This record gives sequence, C-alpha cells and structure tokens, in this order.
Amino acid sequence: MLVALNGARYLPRTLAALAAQTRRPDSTVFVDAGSTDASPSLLAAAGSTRLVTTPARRSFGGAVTHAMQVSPPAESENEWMWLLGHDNAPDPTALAALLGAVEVAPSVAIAGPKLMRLDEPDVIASFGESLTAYGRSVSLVDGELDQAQHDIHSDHLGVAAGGMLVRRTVFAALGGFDPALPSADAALDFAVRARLAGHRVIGVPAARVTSAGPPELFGRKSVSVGAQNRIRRFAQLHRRLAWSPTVALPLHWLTLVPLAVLRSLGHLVAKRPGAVGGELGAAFRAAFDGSIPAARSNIRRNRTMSWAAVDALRLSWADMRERRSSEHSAAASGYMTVRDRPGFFVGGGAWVVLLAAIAGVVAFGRFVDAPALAGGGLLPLSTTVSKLWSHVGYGWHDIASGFTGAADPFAIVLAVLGSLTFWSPSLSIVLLYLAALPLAALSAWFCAARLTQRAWPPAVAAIAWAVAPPFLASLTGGHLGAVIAHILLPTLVLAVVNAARNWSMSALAALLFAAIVASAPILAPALVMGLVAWTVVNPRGLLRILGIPIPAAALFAPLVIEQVSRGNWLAIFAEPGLPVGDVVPTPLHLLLGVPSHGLAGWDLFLAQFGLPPGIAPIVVAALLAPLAILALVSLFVPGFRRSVPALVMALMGFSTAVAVSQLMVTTIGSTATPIWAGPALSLYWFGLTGAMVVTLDVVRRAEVAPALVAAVTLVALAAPMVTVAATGTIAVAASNGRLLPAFASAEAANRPELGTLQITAQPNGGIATTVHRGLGTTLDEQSTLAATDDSLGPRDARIATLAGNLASRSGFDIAGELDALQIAFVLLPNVTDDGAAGTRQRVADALDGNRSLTPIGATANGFLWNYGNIADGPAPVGPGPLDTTLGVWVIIGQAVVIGLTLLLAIPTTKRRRVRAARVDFRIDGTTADPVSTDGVTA
Amino acid sequence: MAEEPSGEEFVKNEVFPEQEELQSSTRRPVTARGLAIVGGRAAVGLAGVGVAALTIVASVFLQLPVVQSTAPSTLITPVATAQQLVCPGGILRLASDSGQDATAAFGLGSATVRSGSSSGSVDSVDAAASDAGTGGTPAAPTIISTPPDATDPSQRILLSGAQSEQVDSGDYVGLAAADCGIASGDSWLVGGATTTGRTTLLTLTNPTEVSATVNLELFGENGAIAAPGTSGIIVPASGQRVLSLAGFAPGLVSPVVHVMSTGGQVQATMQQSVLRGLDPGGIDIVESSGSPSTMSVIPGVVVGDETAIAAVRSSTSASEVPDDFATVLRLFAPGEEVVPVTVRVVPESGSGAGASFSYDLDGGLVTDVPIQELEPGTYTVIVESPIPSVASVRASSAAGPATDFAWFTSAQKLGALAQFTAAVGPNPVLHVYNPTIAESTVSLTPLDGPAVSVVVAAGSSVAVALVAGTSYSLGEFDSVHAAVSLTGNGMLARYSVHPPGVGSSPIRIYP
Repeated sequence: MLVALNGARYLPRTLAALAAQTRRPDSTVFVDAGSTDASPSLLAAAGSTRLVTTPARRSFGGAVTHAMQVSPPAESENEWMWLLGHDNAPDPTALAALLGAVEVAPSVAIAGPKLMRLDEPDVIASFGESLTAYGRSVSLVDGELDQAQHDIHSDHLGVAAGGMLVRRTVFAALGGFDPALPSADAALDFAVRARLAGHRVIGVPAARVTSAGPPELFGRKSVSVGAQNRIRRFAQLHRRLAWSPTVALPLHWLTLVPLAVLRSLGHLVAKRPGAVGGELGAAFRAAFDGSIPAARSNIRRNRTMSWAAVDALRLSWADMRERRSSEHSAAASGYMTVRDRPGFFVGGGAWVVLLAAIAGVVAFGRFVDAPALAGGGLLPLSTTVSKLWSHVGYGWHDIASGFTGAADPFAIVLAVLGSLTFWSPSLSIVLLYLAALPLAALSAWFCAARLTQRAWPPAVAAIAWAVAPPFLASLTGGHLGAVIAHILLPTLVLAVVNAARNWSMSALAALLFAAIVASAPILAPALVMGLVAWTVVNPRGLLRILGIPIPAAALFAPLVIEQVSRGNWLAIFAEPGLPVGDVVPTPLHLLLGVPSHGLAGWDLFLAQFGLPPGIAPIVVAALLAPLAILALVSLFVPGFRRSVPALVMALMGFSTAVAVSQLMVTTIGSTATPIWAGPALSLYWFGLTGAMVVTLDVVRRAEVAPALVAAVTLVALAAPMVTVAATGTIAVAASNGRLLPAFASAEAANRPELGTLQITAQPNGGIATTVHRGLGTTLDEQSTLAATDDSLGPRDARIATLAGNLASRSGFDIAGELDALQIAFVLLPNVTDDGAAGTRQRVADALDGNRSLTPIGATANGFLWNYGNIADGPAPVGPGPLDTTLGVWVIIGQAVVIGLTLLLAIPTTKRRRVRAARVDFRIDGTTADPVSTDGVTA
Repeated sequence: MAEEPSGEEFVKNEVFPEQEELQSSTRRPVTARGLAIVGGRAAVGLAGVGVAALTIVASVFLQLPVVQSTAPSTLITPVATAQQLVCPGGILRLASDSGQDATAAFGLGSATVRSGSSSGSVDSVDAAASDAGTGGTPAAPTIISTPPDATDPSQRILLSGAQSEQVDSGDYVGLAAADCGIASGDSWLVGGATTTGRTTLLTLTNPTEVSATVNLELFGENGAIAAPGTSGIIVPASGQRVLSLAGFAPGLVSPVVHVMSTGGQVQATMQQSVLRGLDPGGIDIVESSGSPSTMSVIPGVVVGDETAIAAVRSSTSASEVPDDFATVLRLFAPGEEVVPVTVRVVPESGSGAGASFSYDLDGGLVTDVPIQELEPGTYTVIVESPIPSVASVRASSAAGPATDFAWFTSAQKLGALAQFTAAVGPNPVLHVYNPTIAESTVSLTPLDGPAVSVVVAAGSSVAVALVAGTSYSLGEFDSVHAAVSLTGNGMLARYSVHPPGVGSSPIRIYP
C-alpha cells in the first residue's frame, strides 16, 4: 500500500523502486491522501491493483485506514500489508527481507525496515523506536552512519510507520493508527497496542527503505521546530492519557497545565523560548482531547498482555544517560569560534580600571562615610527594602498633592539598586558614586575589547568613557539615571552584538535595555533604531534582537498609556527622579559634550586666572580635538563596517541631545526645565569613542602615539571637573538621610500618616506646594507623571486652597482642613531669588500670625511650623500597588515578563571557552587551520 | 550555526582584504582595483565628514520648536477676614513732665485719627498695653479694622486711616502725621538720629492675637551696630513697645533700623524730636519704608524757604554739627559692595530746576547725601541702584521762629486700586508720581463724593488738594506712587500712601 500526499517529488523514484522489488507484492493499493500536486496522475500512471483517493486530505494513518475500509477484508491470517509513504523508496530486496523475517517468527505482527536518509543513503534515519520511563518517545538510532552497528537489535518497542510490514488481521483488530495521532508517535502507539495484544514487533536490518524526514513532515514542505515540538509533546500527552491506569487518569489530567508551565520555564532556562508556545498549546489541547475515551477503550478491548511486556523494552535511565552524553560530545565537536582578544590583566584593562578607581576616590572620596547623598537630582531612598518595592507598579504616590497612577520604571531600577544594600538602601547610591568611574571604565574596556585584538584601543576607550564630560556632569549634578545609563551602555552594546546568535545574551541585552531606558527614557528612540538596524545586518537573529525591547515595553506600558491619555506623550521622555532646574544648553555646548551651561568646569577654572571667558571654549575644543580627529579618520581607513555604525550612533546621540534640550516638559514650581541631555551625550560620546577605537585598531603599530595623545588630553579635559568634585562645591552633597527637619522626622516616625506641607515661594510671586507624608518624599517616590502634570486635579485644588489661605490673613478654617488632610507641619524653605523673597515674607508673616501654628524655628530645610493640636485620623492616601485589581495585574504582568527574561538570561549553555591549538571543525566537514597560540584566551 | 557572527568579520576585513598587508615592506604595484578601493574609502570618509559638518551647522542655525509646558496653577483668593491697620498713636516723650524717669516714655496727648472703609464700617480699638502707660487710652496706638462683607466674602474691601497730632509742649513742638499701616514681619525704618538734642523712639505695635518676637538690626554711618537688647524683644498681643534708639546706639547721626518679627507681626515706627540747644526744632513720625528695592520713589518732598531756615539757623543758640536743617537724602544698601546710585530730583510742577546726580554708595554704611540749592517747592526724588537699597529724605521748614521737619519715606508702588485718608491738619495735599513712560489718568474718589480725574504725565508728578479727614480711593491707573503732605506755618508733616495689604490678596499656587 503506497500513500502519497503531495509527494510528486519523490514518487517516480519510489514507484520505480517498488517495481524493482525482487519479491513483488501480490497486490498494490495506491492511496492519494488529498494531494494538490501531480501525485494522483503519477499514481494513476504507475498502474496498481487498486487506486484509492481519500475524500479529503488525510494523514498517513488516516489514509491507510480509509484504504483498508474500501478494500475487501483479509482472507487469511497470513495476509500482510506493507505500508509505504511516497518518500519510502525500498531497496530491491526490502520486501523479500521483511517477509523472510516474519515467516520464521509467527508471533511477529509488525516488522519495520531500516529507514535510511533520502539524501544520504548510508546514514540511518530511523531504526526502531522506544519510550523513556516518563513516556517520551525516542528514536533509537538517528543520523548515524550505517556500519551495521545496530543490526544485532531486532526486537523493538516500535518501528516507524513508513515501510512497516503489518499483519492485516492485526491491523484491523487494533483499529489501525490512532486518529488523534496524525503523525508523530502514531506508529509507536500502534506498535505498543500490538505488543499489548500479544504480538511481537521487530526491526529487519536487511530491509532498507529511504525516508525524507520525520513523520511530521509527511505531506508538508517544511515544519518549524516549534510546530514539531508541539506535535510531539501533544502525542506524548495523548499517549499518557490513553495509556494510564484509570486511577491515575485524574492526576495526569490535573497536572497537564501546571507541568506545562514548569516545563516552559525549563525551556527558557535551556534557551529554547520557541518551544514554550508549543508546550502550552499541546497541554491545553490534550486537556480537552475528546479522542481519549476511544483510545482507552481500544486498548482495553485488545489488551491481553500486561504493561510489563512494554516496560521491558523501555529505555532505562542508564541508556538515556549514555545517549545524552554521546549527543553532547557530538555537539561539542561542532563549530567553535576562536578569537584573539586582549586579556583584561595582560592587556592593561586592569590598570585602567585601577586608575579610574583612584580618580573616583579622589573625586567622591569625601562621601565615603556618608549614609546617603542629596542635592541636585539626588535624594535619599526609602529606609527599608519593603518600602522601596512598594513604590513600583500602579498605585498611590505621595508626591506633590498625591495621586494614583503608574510608577516610573526607574522606581524598579532604584528598588533593585537599593536592595543590594538592603540594610540601608540609600547607601547603595553612595557606593555607586564611589564605584562609578571604575565601573564605567570596566564596561567600556570589555566592549572595546570586542572590537579589537590590540591592547591600546580598549585602554584608551576605557579612559575616555570613565572621564566622559557628560558622565562627570551627570555625577556632579546628581542625575542618577544618566549615571546608570552611562555605566550600562557599553555592556548593552556588547550584549546586543552577541544577542544575534545567543538567547541568553539576547535576554541579558533585554534586561540591560530595560534598565537603561528606565533610567534615561530619552535614549529609547535612538536605541530602538539601532536595534532595527542591527536586525537588518543580522536577519538570522531577528527574533533574538527584536525581543530585546519587550521587557522595557512591559515596564513602560502603564506610564505610556497614562501620558498618552493625558495627551502629553512627549512627557514619556521626561527624566525620572527628582526634577532639577536647568538652563537650556546651546548646540555648541552639546557638541563639546557638555549637557548644561558651563564648560566642564573649564570656564570657572580659567576665570580664576583672570582669563577672558572666550578662552574656555577654545581650550575645551582643543582638548577634544584628538578624539574628534581619530573618530573622523576612522571613516578613511579600512573597517568602515565598524566605524560607520559608531559614528551613526554618535550622530543619533547628538541629535537626541539637541532635540531633548528643547523639550521643557518638566515643571518645578512655576518654571519649566529642559530634559537633561546627559544620557544622549553619553551615546554621542560612545559613538566617538567607538570610532576612535576603530582607527587605533587599524593603524596597528602606529597606535601608541595617537592613543597616548588622546588619553592625555581626555584626562586633562576632565581634570577641572574631578577637582571641583573633590574640593569645591557641587550640587551633590553628603546627607544624613533625613528629608525633613529633625522635629518633623521624629514626629513622623511615631505617626507615619502625618504630613508636612512644603510651601516654596516662586520668583513670579506665586507659591509652589507639595505634601510630604511621613518621613518625606524619597527619590524612589518621585514620579514623572507628577512632574509633567499640566492640569489640576481636585486634590491639587484642595491643597492649593489650604496653602493659599495659609499664606494669607484669612478667615478659612485652616485647623479643620489640616486635621482632614492630616498635615501637622508647614515647611517654608529659604529662597535666594529676590522676587521670591517678598512672597516668602508674606507667607512667613501669615504663618506666624496663625494662632493654630507654633513656630518651631529655622532648620536646614527652611522655617518649620507645627500644628500641635492635630486630631487623630486616617491619612488621605490612596491604594498601594497591590490594593487595586489594575495594580495587581500590572505587577503580575511586569513580574512575569521580567522573570521570564531573567530565566532566559541565566547562562545554562556552556561558555565557549577558547583554547589554543584546538582543531576547528567546520560544518562542511573540512578542517580549518589550527588556531594560533599567541592569542590570549578570553 | 555556520554564520555565527563572532566579530571575526570585523577583524578580517572582507571588503578590503588587501589592506591587511598595509605593513608589508614590499610595495605592491598600484592596480586599478586598489585605486578604486582607496577612492571609495575617501568618498565614504568625505561623506561622513560632510554629514558631521551639516549636522553641526544645522543644529546651530536651525531653530527647533521648543515644547514648553506651563506649570499648572490656580489663583486662590483667601477667605476674607477682618482687615487690620495700626495707627502709631500719640506722640511720646522721654521723661515725665517733671523730668523724672529719663529713660521711660510718656504720652503727650493723643493723635487725631480719621479712617474710612469702602464697606462703610470701621471698628476702632485702642492697643491694650503700652510701655508709655497709655494702654487702653486714646493716646495708645489705634487698631482699626473692618469685617469682611458677610454676604459676599470675596468682595474686596479697602480700609484706610491716617492720624495727625500737633503738639506744643515744652521741648516738643511741631506737627506729625502718619498713615495707619499694616503690621509686617519685616520692615525698614530710615530716619532719626541720636545725636545731642535728637530723641528717637522706636515704637513696635503688635495688633495680632499672638505675641511677636522682634529682632532689630541697626546700621549707622559707620556700619552695623551690635548692641545688647536688640534681639528677642517680646511685643505682647495688642500691645506696644517703646524703645529709645539712643539706648542701643547713642550719638548716631544716621540710623537705619531693620525690624524683623516672628510670631505676630508688628507695625514699627520711629518718632523723632529735635531740640537745638533750648529751641525745639520739630517733631515727626517716621513710617516704615518698603523692603530694599532697586528703585525707591519719594514723592511729595516739600522743601521750605531757605531764607527763613537760614534765619532760624543763625538764631539757634548752639552751633550744630552736623546741621540737620539741610535737605538730605539718606541711603543704605545692605551688603558689602559699592553701589552706584543714581538720584533724580524731579520738581512737581513740571517746571523749575530739578537735579540729577550719581553717587557711589558704600554697602553696609548709612550715608546722608545733602541735596543743596533746591528752590522752595515740592519734588519727587527717585533713587535707582543696581542692588536693592532703601532711601528717604529729610527736609525742614521754618516760619519765623517756628521750625519743623519731616522724614519723607519712599512710597511703595500702588497697583490698580488703593485707598488713603487725608489726615486732619493744615493744607492736606496728595502728591502722585507716575513712573511709567505713558501718561496716566488717576481717578480720585472721596468716599462720600464724586470722582475727580487727575492726569499725570509720564515721569512726572502732580499735586491735588484734599479735604482734611476725608478718605479717598485711587483707581484706574497702572502704577503710581503717592504721598500726602500737610504744611502750615513752620509745620511740616507727610506720609506715604501704602498699597492695600498684600496679606489677603489672591495668590497663585503651583500644587
């Protein structure tokens, strides 16, 4: 019986082979299982006893069963049926060998030939199938060169369907192949049922039949790995449910989905994310599989032997271990990459990092005993890890007048950072400041070492990255997000470059991408464009690269939805953290790598010597010249495939910086402030440094002089900034970790629901208000939703009414409103602006004249008044991140995405260790040149 | 897996493979292919440099649209409450009638207070306690207030009052008048002297319901003066403290006092009397100036007849050093820097000679700058300085043997709406100065009469005669400075018109 389904490609050969049999079949039944190509005409032309066409497209098993139904029933016990697929071209003696084997063993009901690969006739495609202890089907031989090494085995648990010789009566009695198993495991299931019915199943090594591929491929052009996994997993689950004892059936059914989830996690850890969908799909399909009762009753009807007959032929654990180890050794002997890279210690990376560490200690050493940092964009973090994590997700934010909304993704970055020093979260920021320079040098060195074999370029790149002007400006200005983005940027690029071939690297890149974009949202457009470009260069890694922004998208989704629903979508790019008032930098400042006013400290430094202000830009430009020249020269030397992407990155960084400095979406009190361009300039600097590395790499032995010049000028450029950080006054300063005056903090420690109303006089005569609840508003409580809000809510109006009346002689029931809002303190910070001084005096006068308030006195934070008679009551705060359905879903969604990415990122595959003098096997079987041994292993 | 990108493709440049041998010692022959490669590379490089240059030029010259959020804000009008003004109270003297208790203050009669409010009702209360022993009597400071409109609390109610007192009692002779002012936590007094024969009393009146703690900063011609007792002065609620400035700083020619209170607010005034030898030289109440500002306007400076003054000067029994008959401008700028000050003296009539001069003022030192050779008449003095400063003018008048002087304090800017009361006294005149560059029409409306329109040319001032004891509202202008003067035979008094209290004005809130 020959079944064809779209097999016109193979049929001529198969038909010819069939005709050439030494033992011709007594009758032939050709079945067309619903082909759409030339198969039916080929079959008809070949001439057969009977030509059957199924009414619709059928699987191999289905077609056989259909042909059986339309054929006359078996006339004797010894009537055999030989099942062939269109690709199963038998050797001339195949049928003779099969019949010879079954004749000498009457108990045999099924005999299978040795299936050989169609394209490689001396390689075994399949010879016998078996089961593991857990019921996974295993092809006993797959892809081994046929050296008759398996010819000693004859009794098999199952054989492949193609080329199978089966006793017709048995086939009819067993009801043929299980219709629920169209391809995978259909023959195995059939063979197991035959064995249970007391028959033997043997393999006949002398009979050789070709096969084009696994049964899933029958009738299809191709089948994806994911689909194959799904089909096989479903077949296994179907068999499990069909074969299991009735007692165990509910247990099996109930564990279907949980097991699928667990196995999916396993797939992720094993870097097979493509198998997850099939795993879950198969489990759900098996759970609602209506064909189970029929399959079960079939077995019950025909079973005469106990399951022990089957168990004896299962593969033992020992066999499985042996198979697995031989598979691993086969994989390990495959393609290996060997690269020369400069060693971290030998290549000088360690020295550069050490130098950066010394510079870091010089610049920020005075913070070494500080418990927290404040000033600029910095504030202390929450005091406990649980509070840190309570500020992520969707919930109540105690900032400004308070609101319920999505947290910034940056809150998660801060929560992770703070959790590293769980005994005192704020300490993590101090440690980050102390380690920032060496960390930046380290990440830049490894990224640059990926581009070059030489030692000088990574060292200069590490120096350039550690003392980059935008980095130092972000550090001294307390722009924590920009600092984190700068440190992580080279590692992201490194991971993205490797992600094209590696799921683990792809997941790592996704996490780094999420961290960088959360810390500096302005980098998102440039980075996404870079990823898209990288997929164009590496279409093979499409999924692995396009998946990189997914975790970031999951983190940003709630925020983006809220901002877009406000109609303020540009505010998505607002710098997270405490808003810092800044001037708009000019494009020329940005070109010199300076994200704000001033010139990397050179303007003040030169002014000390009485030099005119016009000198500073010239000096800075001169010091930047070596880097700029080396970067541009990279376009003229070989290797433009590296230099053009680097310089395009620089261009995108610069363009981003120019664009965001025009985006004044954040307001502080009455004034709007531009987005900090530091991270965009970091990208700009990254591109320049990368191009410089290319040039230094290409000039080879001539590299030393330009590398030294670049390193010296870059260090000189950074010198004033480092000096100012070390000795002068910068925005960032050591803090005792308190956000409010000690009096208010002490009171709030006992009654955390108490609020402090901060009234800040504005230069335009207005006042800005914000309510601190408890110990004060920490860095992780900051929200860009609050900072970019351009409308007033009812809560804002209520606070405004209270503040407006507090700031005036008024007949308002201030005490009652303070009770209702649980505000026990009013804080009036000092102001420097003349315009604000008059307003501050007015507010101070009004607060002084208020009988309800007791002046506490001047504090470091400003003048403090206490409302002593505050009534007990609940604080008017909203739900926490887990108190609303939406909040729970946001947390679950983000946790699932991040968790799965983390699982995928855990490196489980062996690292490609480079060893000297190992012979490199190519896939085409040729042997590559032996690796030179002078390279250092990385 | 064969296509694994390992970075090798970077190292082995497949596009220009022959460049690998750049270092080779033997020169290879120049081929057409080699030339094409070098040319292509130069093209890439030049294109890159071009893009870089274009980007830089575009970023500098292309004007990108600026996206600027407006901070959300709301204008909160405070719930109206009773407005309160403090009239400084009767003239005080050191030592009793019998010359006893030379350090204690005693009342010298009570002042005549007139007040008015736009709602028509004014409550008037005498301060409950005073160092001068006048607590609860009409001689005590008067606290006038008006309740908010019961039906419409948001209705703006204007309140004003003024007092005047003419004394002729032994050493104390002259006319003094003052506006009823708002208590404040921060005020500056520019005037007074503690040289021989000059008595300057500092009065602090607290109209609020909480006691105030007052700290004083004293400055003189030699800089800041540290004196015991200038800090932590408690002024009880509804009480008046009277302090002799000589107790802190005797022999001071040019005092300036900065009064800061916490807790309740106080209204601070100075009361100065002059005795030249045995001849009384006049009396005046110095009201607080505004906070230091870069432009001080002193309207309504009345300069008396120099010949009459010279006659009195020559007849005084003691030769005075310094001579405080002269018209002087007292200037003070907090801080250490030298402040270049520009002074303009603009005659009121529009004609006549003014004066204009510059002066380098030493920061931290109080300086009296004489303004000489002014024709008798009324002037507006404008002081401009790049760093905020305070200023006031002292001038004298004489008629026969009678002399009087007055401190002309700077008048704060009035915006849109104000109200004042003409004190009871001889020849009350309103002086209005228009600091803007456009002509301004001011409507002057007596509370019980029809409005009068007054046109004030840009940068000049006009005088309008008033009815004594009547309250007027000023309206329909953008920005003016105003003062009221009272002049009689050898009598001189003048006070500035204060803007309505900002304490209850609407305020913009940025929540």
